[in-house]
Amino acid sequence: MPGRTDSRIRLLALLVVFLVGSLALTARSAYWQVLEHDRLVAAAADQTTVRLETASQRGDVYDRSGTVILATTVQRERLVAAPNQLSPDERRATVAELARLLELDEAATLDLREKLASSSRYLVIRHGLERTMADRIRAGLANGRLFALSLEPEPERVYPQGGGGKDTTLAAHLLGFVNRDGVGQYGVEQAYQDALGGSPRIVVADRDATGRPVLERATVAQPGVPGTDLRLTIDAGLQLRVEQELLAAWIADKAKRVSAVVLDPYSGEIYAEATYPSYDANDYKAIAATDPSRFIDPVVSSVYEPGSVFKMMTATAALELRTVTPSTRIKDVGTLRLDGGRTKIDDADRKGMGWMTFQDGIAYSRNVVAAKVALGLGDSLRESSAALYDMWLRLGYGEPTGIDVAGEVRGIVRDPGLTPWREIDLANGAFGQGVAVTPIQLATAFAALANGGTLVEPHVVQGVGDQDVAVAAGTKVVDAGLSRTLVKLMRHVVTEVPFYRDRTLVPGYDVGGKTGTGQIWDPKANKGRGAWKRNLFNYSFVGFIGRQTGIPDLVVAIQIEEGTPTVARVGHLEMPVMSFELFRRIATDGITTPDLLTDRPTAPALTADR
Amino acid sequence: MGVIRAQPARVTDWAAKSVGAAWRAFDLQLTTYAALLLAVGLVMAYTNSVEDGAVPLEAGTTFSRGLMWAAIAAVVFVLATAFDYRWLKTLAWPIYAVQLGLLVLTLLIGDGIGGSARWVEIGPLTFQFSEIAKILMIIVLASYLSSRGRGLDSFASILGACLLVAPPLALVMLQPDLGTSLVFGAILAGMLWMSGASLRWLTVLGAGAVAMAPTAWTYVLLDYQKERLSSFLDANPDLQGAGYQLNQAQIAVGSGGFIGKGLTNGTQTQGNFLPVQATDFVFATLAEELGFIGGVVLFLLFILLLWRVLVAGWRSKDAFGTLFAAGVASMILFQLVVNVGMVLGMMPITGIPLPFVTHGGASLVSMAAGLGILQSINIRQTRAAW
Repeated sequence: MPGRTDSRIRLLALLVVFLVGSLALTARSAYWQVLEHDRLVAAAADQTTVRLETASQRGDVYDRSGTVILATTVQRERLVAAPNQLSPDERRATVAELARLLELDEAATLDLREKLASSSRYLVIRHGLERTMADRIRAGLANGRLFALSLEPEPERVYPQGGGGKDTTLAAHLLGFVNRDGVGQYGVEQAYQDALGGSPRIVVADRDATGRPVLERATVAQPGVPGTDLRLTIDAGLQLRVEQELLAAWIADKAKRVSAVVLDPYSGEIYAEATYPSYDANDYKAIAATDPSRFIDPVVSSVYEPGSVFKMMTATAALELRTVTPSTRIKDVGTLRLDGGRTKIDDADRKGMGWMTFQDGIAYSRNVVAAKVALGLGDSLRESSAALYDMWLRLGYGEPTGIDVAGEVRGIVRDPGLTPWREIDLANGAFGQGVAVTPIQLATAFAALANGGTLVEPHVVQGVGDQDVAVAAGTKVVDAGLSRTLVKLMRHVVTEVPFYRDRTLVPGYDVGGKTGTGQIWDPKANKGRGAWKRNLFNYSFVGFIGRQTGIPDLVVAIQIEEGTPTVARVGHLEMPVMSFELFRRIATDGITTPDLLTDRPTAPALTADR
Repeated sequence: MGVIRAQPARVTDWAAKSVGAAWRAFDLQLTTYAALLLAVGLVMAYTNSVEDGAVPLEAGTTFSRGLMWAAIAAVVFVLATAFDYRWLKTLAWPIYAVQLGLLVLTLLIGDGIGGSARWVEIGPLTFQFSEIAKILMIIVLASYLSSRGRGLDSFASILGACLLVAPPLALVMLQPDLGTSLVFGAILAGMLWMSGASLRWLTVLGAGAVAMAPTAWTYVLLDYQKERLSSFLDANPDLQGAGYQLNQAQIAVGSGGFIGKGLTNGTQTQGNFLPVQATDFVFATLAEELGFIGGVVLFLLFILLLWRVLVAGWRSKDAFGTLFAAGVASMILFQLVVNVGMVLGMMPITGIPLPFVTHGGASLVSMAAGLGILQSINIRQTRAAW
């Protein structure tokens, strides 16, 4: 047959094809089974086992007394349905009975009916069921009126103390909340997540063919550690009063936001810290849906231009360098031309008060006086800038204070060593414009000025479990004599100026401080070129109150953001509750809080040197 | 003429030869390798049954049905061996008619996944006629090509063979079953090659097939088939979609390692992470549980079997036997490479069974018939000796 003449070769060719095919398959098998073996074994293990994590009981949060519960966890239950197991009759019965038990309205009943008509194997019907309701559902399942439902334990974080305003919980900003996954968000809950959350119990189980874990053969990979309780430095009573004061001021001043922080200047313990508007941490989901920015704590996470309270930093630098004394006479000219006439700064009233002492210049908050002093800090603009900037850094600006809540920001200070300041920059900095700080930074810096010169680390947690938190030793930033002078200067501010005197002093106590009225830059105004907001200012007051003269017991920082003045003319602004009035109220609350203040028979820091 | 002469010759052979002579010509090796491959298939059926949580010997499990089909296959094998293959030449046209009939029947009453028509239910059994059609196709082609004799070098012969294959191939495509239609192509190619068709015409044919490919992609292939093909070519396939099975197969095979996890210990194939582990992806189960060694032994068995199939064709004194062997060998090799290649990610996913090993009655019966006919060819080639 001619057709078969070459079939021996063709047969061999066919055999070669067989061999090549088999070798290719063998090589490929070898590649996967030998070379890639380890990686694929790991991939297989991932698929065939499942790690089940059960969160441990979360720690509670107490106030400084250890008796008031600020946050706790209760066991609730989650109602889960398996709609795929329902017959039509069972579904009807279940919908009707659930609607009755859960008191569902028509729309919700319809929604439930639709959910149960799906073919899902696992559907959460309701979170956070309380015990009584859960028991009723269990009874319904037992007597055959409900079908294909189950209840799963579900921890729920509860904040039992009401706050100072409607629909708020106490210290909501400070505490934060806990999300559905059991993870703390914001504040103490986030910062102390590890301690509060403990570690979960981890169980490793094989999966069966349907992918569900086989719990009978599970092994415990990690037994889990329950969360630890926290004891805060917050005094619940003072915190509540502060929140009430803030609410009142917020209403009276038609402000955007009002914040206050009360702090022990020697230890850095925060006794109260609040902002209004606040929120209800028990219903955080409602806020999350409408205004999640409400969760941010402005005291630690929002910066603003502080305005004249910053004159105290200028004074500190100048008094330390001895370029001025409190009684040095300086001429206030109302308007100061700078940078060879290209720029100028004004006093708030644009009027010169003439020759006055430095301490009166601070008291009457003369911008021109502060600017002149700042310009005179060194022999050159560069030296003066460096001196002021150095003082800011020493007092903690531009760096987080280290407060133990989540989300602290560092603020914005410009380094003249990188981009040299113009005269206008230095002058503005002298009275707190062109620099952005947080209220907690102001409180901490003023604490250093008042406590003998030590920059302390502010904190809100006093104890974790049975352990007291070690308080970091502060950094000496100015000397005690200077601190004494600065205390006197702050006292001079509130006693010298009649406008302040009547509304700041607390009879029987030693009070001092500094006001600030900062302009607010609106970058969106003026067709995107930005402009200062008209008649809206950030009002600040940072000061101290003490039981003994010269020994401050508390430092209080107040911020009234975008308050609406009732009287606004050049150089004079009036609001129903001025920042220093709010200070007086809160300082009075603080100083009269029972059992809050420790005895300070002698304040060693104040008497040690000089 | 030849047909008429064949009748007395057959009777004479059968009557004159002793059973012992026939037995000596019977290729025991061929049967042994096939039986071993079948045993591997049964072991895989057993392990898959155990993994499904069933008692393997209970009615309805993969294993018990596998045993039943093995028994049926053995009977078919014996009958085909006893049957004089030369009758097949006579019956070629009726066989062709039956083949087309079965495929049309499948289209009319067949069941399958997602609107396809692949299986026909006969009582309690489901049967895939396209598997039978493959062996019938080999018979028809062998008969046709061997009758062309001297004319094989002509383009007309090649065209004739193509025309013979076209209707069943089209019917299978309509099911739709891309894999099986490709097997028809492979059978045709292998048989034309061994028939001695001129290389020139084979080249023309191959070039034509390549040229048709883009047209086929656009007008013939269905979306899911394209998706499978493109996911095979995609370096980073969608692991939830078409690439899922490939990835699962890779994990199953790779985690088996050199010596495997042991029978019934496969976690991936047993845990149902890999769908159809008992049928088209049975090699994944084997590779996971018996490892690289198991795979190599399987390939070795196939090579030995193919060798014996070609030897049977070589020993055949007529062209029909040679061509039939070539067709069977091409079919087995193509299915082996495509099926295992698919599991190993070298080939796109197509529903082609692994001969003897894949659980599936029609495939096994069809293989048994093919090997039986080869044995029939073997034991009827002693004429030259006397």
